Amino acid sequence: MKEFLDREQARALSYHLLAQCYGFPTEALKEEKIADHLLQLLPLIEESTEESIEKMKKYLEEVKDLQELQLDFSKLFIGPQNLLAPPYGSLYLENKGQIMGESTYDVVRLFNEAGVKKLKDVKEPQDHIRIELEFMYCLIDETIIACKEGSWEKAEKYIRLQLEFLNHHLGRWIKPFTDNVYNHAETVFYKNLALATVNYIKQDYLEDSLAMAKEFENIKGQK
Amino acid sequence: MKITRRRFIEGSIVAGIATAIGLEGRRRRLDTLEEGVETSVEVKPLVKGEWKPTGCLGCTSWCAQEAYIVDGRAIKIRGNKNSKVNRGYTCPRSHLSLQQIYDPDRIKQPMKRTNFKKGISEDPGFVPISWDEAMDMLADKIMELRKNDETHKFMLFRGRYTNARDLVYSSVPKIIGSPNNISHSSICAEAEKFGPYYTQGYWNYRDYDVENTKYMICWGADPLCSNRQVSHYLNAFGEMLRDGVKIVTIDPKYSNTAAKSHVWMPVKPGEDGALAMAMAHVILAEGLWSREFAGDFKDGKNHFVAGKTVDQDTFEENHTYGVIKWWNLELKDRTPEWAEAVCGVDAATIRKVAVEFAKAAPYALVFMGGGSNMQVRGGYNSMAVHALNGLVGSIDHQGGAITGRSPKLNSIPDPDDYMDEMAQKNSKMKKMDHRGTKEFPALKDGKSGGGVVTNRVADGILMEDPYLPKVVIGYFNNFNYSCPQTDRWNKAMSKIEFFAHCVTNYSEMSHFADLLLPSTHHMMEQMSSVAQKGNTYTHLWVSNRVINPVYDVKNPETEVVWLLAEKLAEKGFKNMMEYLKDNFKDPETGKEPTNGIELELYTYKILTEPVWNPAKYEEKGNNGDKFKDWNDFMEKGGLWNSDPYKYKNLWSNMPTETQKFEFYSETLKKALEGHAEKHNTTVDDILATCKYTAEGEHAFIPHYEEPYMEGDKEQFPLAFIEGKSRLAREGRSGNCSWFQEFKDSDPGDIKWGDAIKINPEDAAKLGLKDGDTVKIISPVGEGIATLKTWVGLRPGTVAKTYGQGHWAYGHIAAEDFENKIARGSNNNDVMPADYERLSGSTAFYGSFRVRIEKA
Repeated sequence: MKEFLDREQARALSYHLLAQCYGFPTEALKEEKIADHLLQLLPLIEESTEESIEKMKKYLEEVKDLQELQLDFSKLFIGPQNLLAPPYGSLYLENKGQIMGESTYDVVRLFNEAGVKKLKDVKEPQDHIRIELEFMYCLIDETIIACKEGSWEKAEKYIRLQLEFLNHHLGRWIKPFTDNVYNHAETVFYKNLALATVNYIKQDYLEDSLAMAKEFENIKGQK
Repeated sequence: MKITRRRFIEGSIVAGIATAIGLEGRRRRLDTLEEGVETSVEVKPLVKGEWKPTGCLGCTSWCAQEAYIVDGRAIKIRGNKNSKVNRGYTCPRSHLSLQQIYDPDRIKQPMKRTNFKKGISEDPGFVPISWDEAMDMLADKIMELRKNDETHKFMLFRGRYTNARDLVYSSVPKIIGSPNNISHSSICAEAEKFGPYYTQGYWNYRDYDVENTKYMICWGADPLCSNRQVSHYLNAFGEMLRDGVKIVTIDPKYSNTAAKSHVWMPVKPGEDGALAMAMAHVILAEGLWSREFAGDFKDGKNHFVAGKTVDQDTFEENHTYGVIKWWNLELKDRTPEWAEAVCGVDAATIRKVAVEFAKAAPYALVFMGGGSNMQVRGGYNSMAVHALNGLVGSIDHQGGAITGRSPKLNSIPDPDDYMDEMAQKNSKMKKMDHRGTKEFPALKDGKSGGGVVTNRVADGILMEDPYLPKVVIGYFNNFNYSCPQTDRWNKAMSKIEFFAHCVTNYSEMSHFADLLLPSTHHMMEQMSSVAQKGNTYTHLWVSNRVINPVYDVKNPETEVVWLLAEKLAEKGFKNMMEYLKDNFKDPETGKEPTNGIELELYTYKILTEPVWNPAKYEEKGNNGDKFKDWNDFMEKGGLWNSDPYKYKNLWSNMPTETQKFEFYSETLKKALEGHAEKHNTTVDDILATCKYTAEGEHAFIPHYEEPYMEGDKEQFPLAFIEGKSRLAREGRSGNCSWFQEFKDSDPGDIKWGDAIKINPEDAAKLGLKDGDTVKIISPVGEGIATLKTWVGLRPGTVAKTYGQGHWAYGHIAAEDFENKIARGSNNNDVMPADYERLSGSTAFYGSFRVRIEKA
């Protein structure tokens, strides 16, 4: 059980740290040592992320002024000129070129089921990459809490939501999204963030999340 | 699927990180999520949506609409069936509002420029900032102007707007202390209003009683495509054709309306005046004028004989003034045969249409659009074309050309008491658009400098005449795209020290901004209201916010004003906030506004109180639907309809100098003489300065003027004809895929492209064929388009719709948004900046020539 929870905690933290990287870059990114933490954690789960995160870390250590990073972030994820890596799920999951589509509302449905909502001052759609990464964190965190409490039904629900969310949303658009980031980023930081993100999520989506569900079944059976 | 065993994770590492970033025990709040449910939306099956009333500002039809809202998301549009103006119908372009709202290219949050060099090839380097920081920057700039006593160097540009416009457009510049509030009106229609004003005292669009008419001439107007009441006319046309109404279209191109008309008269570009003179000549010479309206010869015989003058004393006019002068000075020689040689329409057709029109009158009308008059010498065309309605007595008559019954609303409260000494003094400085100067009379409402000369502002900035503005706010506008000779605007806006742009999308003008303040979409994300006439009624609609704003956007007419007032107050200048708090209280509860959303609500309540408050309704003398109070009004859809139109109210009761319909305009005479006197010169000199050729008494009557066209015939052999695009939403829908996919709904145009249309004979002469990429070269610029041979044009002309050629606005609008490569070309890149100076109107039609070369 402890091993299971440690591994889940590692997954949760991974999503949380990645979500941090998709916020507008300020000094906090350096001060909170996000890249250091990622470097400690992600390669334990997926080795191939080590090189990318090393580069992200090095970039942050060497960069004096964050303006370059901020401009790169703006061009990739905000605009106002050509939006190089639209950070919205609907643009990848629906062929309509529009935000707030049916897939976005499916995310809202999952939020409702999970009992979370967007903070009032967050003015982006629910299928924004940063929000989806935090949502994964929430789902895993809730699973951990439920397991600790021995609320197996609740844990089952959150595991089902994790798998559904990865299968229908995050897991389905992370590749084309990170391809955009990789192809258009001008900074080493975002190019490598794209690689670390896709490699981690690929591992989690295709293997670890499924292994987790199986492990959970075993644990539950033992109780 | 193979499921690998997960790796062992050292628990202490995980715990260490969790502690380091403060996640341990959930002490840290997440950045984007919290516990709870999304209360704003409840995900339901699609069928369980709700129709909510709204309205459309995609053109000046201003139709009352409804939006189908499912889970807080707008998915469908339909006309509001309770409107007596658009009668539940809607045009195709209203639907594109959905794609505008959910456009991933919208400006998502306030952004500031980090590269202070400005120019088309500069990368502004925009980065996001908070609204607080953005408004702080803007307020600092305004405070600097106040500190240096140069508040006149503040300027406000207004594009499209709602009824609440005067708060930001009029009061804000006044309180700051600037004369520079510049509207878009003169790139819209002013020459079209010039004729109706200087004949019948009405500076406005007209309405047309098509339900009761028997004969309609659409002149330089394409009501099945654009301007005006497209939703209404798209349906009325079917009814008219069914009922045997004869429809004639006068337009140099085969327009949407021409395609549904019995007769198409392809007048040569700019020669509308000749055609109008000849029709007036026929109506008089054939004795077909309205005796009831215009009067008669005392002996009852017709003395209008071609080439011969008539003794003034032999004719007695009823509700008109100057018909004999018009004949003697101008019309007697303007035979159809003369006109044929000038305007290219054969004499027999001119005669036939004039006779049929006059015989059907007074149940006959000339529907005038900007095509016949937004020309350098178009002011008199505007009078002439409209005056045909006067000759046959269809003015203000059933089945004729009528006005409207606008609701009498409250005005935005007067800011005078909040203008300090500096504001009083500096707001009297000269304006940036040169209105009222000798060269730009802009005689709106009979006043020298009464109207705006929008496109002239670029020259004012470039010449620093009268000075160089420093702090500029623009909202719902894109003058770098929508004003002819765009390169001037690119240079001019590069000179502005600080420009804040309130818009939905990163437009050509935004490229020169220091601050981007993203706007709500008028149709769904903010309250909105306008009044408009059509179908012989006038409606007023007020719409609520029907969806939560997408992204971090604010209403520039109210919310941004509130935030600015707050910041200015923080910095010690409290007048604007005091003005808002004192004057914008909820009229029902007396409560002061405490934020921008409340200001928005109270502003619309104040403006429309004479409609929803029964006591005020009586006081103002409104007519039409009545309500108990605000809630009753809004529960009934926020829609008011006037009573039916009262015909003939204006006969001998017109706001002209003579109270009559003036063929000889004493009203224009007074205005022109006033302007000449102001500049210590003669009316002849004023006309010559304004590029007119007329002298003497001709200045006061509708008369023929040879068109003034830029570009000599040798170098530039093809007259350029501009048309409007069905789906263009005033140039703002280029980033909608539906606009591109259905671009071929404009006759002769192509999907996802930009066609320049040319008569096949001309194409053959030039050795060009369909699909060739060609250069359009004018005296002021070059553009690229795809050649399309088209028989809907006479040889010697080319036609192109307005709406493509965005190098900004989004990844669909532009061919290559990142590299600023336009999809096709913007007509305004090749169109010279010229004006119908008497009205201040920009000349869009019949005003320049081009040549076409293979690119």
